[in-house]
Amino acid sequence: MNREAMQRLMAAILTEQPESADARMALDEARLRRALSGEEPLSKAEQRLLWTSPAARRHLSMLWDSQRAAQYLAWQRAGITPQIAYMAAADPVVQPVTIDTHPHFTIKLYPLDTDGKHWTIFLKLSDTAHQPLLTGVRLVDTGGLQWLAGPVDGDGELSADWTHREPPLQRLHRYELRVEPL
Amino acid sequence: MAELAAHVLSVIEQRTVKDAPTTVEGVLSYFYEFDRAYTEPYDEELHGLEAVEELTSNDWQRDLTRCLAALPVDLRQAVEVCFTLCPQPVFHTDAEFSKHYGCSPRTMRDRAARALPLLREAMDL
Repeated sequence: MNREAMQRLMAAILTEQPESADARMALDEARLRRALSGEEPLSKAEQRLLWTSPAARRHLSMLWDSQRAAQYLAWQRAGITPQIAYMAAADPVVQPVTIDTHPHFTIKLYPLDTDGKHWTIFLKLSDTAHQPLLTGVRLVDTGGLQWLAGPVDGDGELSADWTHREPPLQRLHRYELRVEPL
Repeated sequence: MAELAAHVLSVIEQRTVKDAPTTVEGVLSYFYEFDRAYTEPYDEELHGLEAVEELTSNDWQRDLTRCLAALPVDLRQAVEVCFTLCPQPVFHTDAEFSKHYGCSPRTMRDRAARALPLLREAMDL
C-alpha cells in the first residue's frame, strides 16, 4: 500500500489516543537524547511507551527537530552544504561509480552483479563533516527516496545494500543526492 | 523544517538581529507556536511519526495492514477510500460516488471515523 497514505492513517489513529499516565517521566530529555544519538537505543518497554504516549512522542519530535537543526547549523558554520551535484550519464555502464563532486561527502556505488540490479552503496564523510556530527545521517535523492540511513562508524563511513527496485544509476539520471542529519 | 530553522538562526547571527532567538530551540519555538504541524494534533502526529520510526523497531505498517484486514468489510473499505490507501476512481458528484460505492461520501467518512478507534485497539495502542 501507499506509504504516505499509511502514514496519514497512522497519524489519524494516534491523534485521539488517550495519554499514558507516566510515559513522559519515564522518557525524559536526557534519555531521549542518548537514544537519538545512537548511544543507548530504547528498550522494548521504552519503545512501547513512545507508541502509547502522545506527550512522549511530542517531546521526542521537538528534540529530534532541535538536534537536526543543530546539525544543519554546525554544517552551515563549517561551510558544508547538503546537496551533492552529480548526474549520471544517459546510458551508464554497469561498473563501480564514485561520486566525489562534494568536498565533504563521497559516495561509491558497487555493482554486485553484471546486469546492474544489485548494488552496495557507500558514503564517507570528511573529518570536517564527521567531527560536529550529533546524530546519524541519511542519504536521500531529490525524488524522496532514501538510499542510506544510520549512524556512521568511527571513520565517518556508512554503507548498505541497495533495496529498491529501480537501479541507483537510473535514479541519478533524474535526481540529485542530499546528505541530511538523521 | 530543521534546515530552515538552522538557516534562520545563521541569518540572525550574521545580521546580529536584536531580541531574536539565539538558539535552535528558540527559533523552533516560533514554529511550534505558529506552524500548523504543531498546533493541530493530527499534523503533529504526522510530523512526529518519522522520529518515532527512527527510534523504534516496531513494524507498524505490517501491524496496521494486518489489523485493517481484520476489520468488517464496510469499515475496511471506508478506510481504504478515505485515506486513499490504494488507487480510487475519481467522482465529480456525490451521486456518482454513491452509485459506485452504494453509500454517500458522508456515510463513508463516518464509517472511516468509526474504524479508527477499532484499529487503535487492535494495534494495542
